[in-house]
Amino acid sequence: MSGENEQTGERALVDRLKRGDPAAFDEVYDRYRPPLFGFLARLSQQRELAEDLLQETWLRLAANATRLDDDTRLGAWLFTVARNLHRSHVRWVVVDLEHRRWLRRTADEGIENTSPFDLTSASELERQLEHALAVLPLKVREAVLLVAVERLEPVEAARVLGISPEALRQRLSRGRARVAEHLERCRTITTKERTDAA
Amino acid sequence: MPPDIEERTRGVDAALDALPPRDVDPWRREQIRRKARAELLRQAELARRPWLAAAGRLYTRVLEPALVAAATCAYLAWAFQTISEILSGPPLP
Repeated sequence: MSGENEQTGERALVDRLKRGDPAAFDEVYDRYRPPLFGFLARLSQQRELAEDLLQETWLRLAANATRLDDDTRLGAWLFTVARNLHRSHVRWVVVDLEHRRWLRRTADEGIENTSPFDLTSASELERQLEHALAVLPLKVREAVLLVAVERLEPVEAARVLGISPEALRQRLSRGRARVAEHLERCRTITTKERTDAA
Repeated sequence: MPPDIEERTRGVDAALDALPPRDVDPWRREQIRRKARAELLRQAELARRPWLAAAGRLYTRVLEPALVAAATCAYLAWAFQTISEILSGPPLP
């Protein structure tokens, strides 16, 4: 029932957007901006790039608002645009070897290195999780971010990524296993350090 | 799924779900909102006046390229004519 209500509410919102209602835009912007930015920031690992892609995503929505289908799922639409923009960026950008080396180094060294995002994280577990996400392969990271962090329905996430639900399930399972392994490794290192200190 | 893996997956999901949300700083947030709202209003205006959108398309897809091509052709014709006059004229003292 609540799902139906949500769908009706979203249809009304889409309808207002199609008429160019700025209040409807604000509502959508306030609802989807934080999850979109979180997705882009964790996907790209660069705050400035994430902000640029976020802006481009909202400009695309504004430019296409009057042509949206009545049954458009705004969350899925926005995540699809954001993800495609990021993919275009990755495809065309000159490969940053330093960044790659940093990723490889930090993957090998566990929790010792911290990215700017890590530094702003509050707890050690958060730091470890952010790090585990950062070193995941891009395709796996996208799936984990959409489903496990931003709580998109698996069916919608599969549509956003343009893959089958089964392929999404595999990517998720691979991602979760890698995150769990990373956390386990961090725990082992921390325990060993404590033992050594004692 | 084996119970230990299931438990581990649940733990990872719970931890990932608890990650704090991120957001852009307020200044940038408002900047993006302003730009996007301006674009939304522009598109809504165009949708209300289809002839304006058609005129815009006609200008950007036909008139503007034609003007640029005409200006380029005129300049090249003038340049070739001037060069040929200089080359075919009497030698410079």
